[in-house]
Amino acid sequence: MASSGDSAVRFSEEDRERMMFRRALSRKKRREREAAGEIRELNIVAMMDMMTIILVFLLKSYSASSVSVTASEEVRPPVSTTRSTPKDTVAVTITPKSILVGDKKVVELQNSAIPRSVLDGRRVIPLDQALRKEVDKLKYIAARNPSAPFNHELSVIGDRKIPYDLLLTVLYTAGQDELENYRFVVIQKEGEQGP
Amino acid sequence: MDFAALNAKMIEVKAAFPSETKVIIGAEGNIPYESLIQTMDAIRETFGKERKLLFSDVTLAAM
Repeated sequence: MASSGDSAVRFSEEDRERMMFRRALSRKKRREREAAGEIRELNIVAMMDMMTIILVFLLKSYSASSVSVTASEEVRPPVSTTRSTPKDTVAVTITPKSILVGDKKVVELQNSAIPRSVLDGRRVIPLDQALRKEVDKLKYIAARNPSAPFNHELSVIGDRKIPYDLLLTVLYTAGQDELENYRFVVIQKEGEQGP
Repeated sequence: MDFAALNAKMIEVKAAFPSETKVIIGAEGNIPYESLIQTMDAIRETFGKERKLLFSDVTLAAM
């Protein structure tokens, strides 16, 4: 029994020696590799750190740009020096060819004038109906959510070439639907957008 | 168009009536939207680096 115990001790000592030799060898190899400039392993912790920071930054920048203004190639808003910021309201887009409420086309223009068939005096009937729908929606929201009151505001995105007469006709129609305050969306000189 | 002169004139008018903020803009029917915006720029604020509000409540006149 004693001899077997001895051999076991000897074995473990041999093992330890062998292990130490191996470790020393691998350490030596590693040092050589490091000296050669080879990357041993990727440090994921630092990368995760960076990704988290970028994620937070992206989320913040998305929430900062509150208004998305539909830009099409047909409408080129005029350039202005204003510093005010646009708000999320009912948007009417006037291009030289048509009038849109939100993204939906409501009136097709003929020679950048409203065709007589859709006019009732100065009121543009299809535009009036579309705005009425939008206003009803906003009022429905306002009645149930006091933090989002109906502010009678309208954003006008107009092409720089549209005549004053056409603009006034649109504003008159909007006025019939209780949208009395206007914001003109323009391109800011620095490249941002504001009313 | 000389918007700097218009702006200078508006500064003069503002000095005479410091508490007034309303202004009415009237235009002929064929005036392009761009000119209206530039006119509003000249009337609403002073030009230059330091912007002071002049007449910020713009009302559009209908003919």
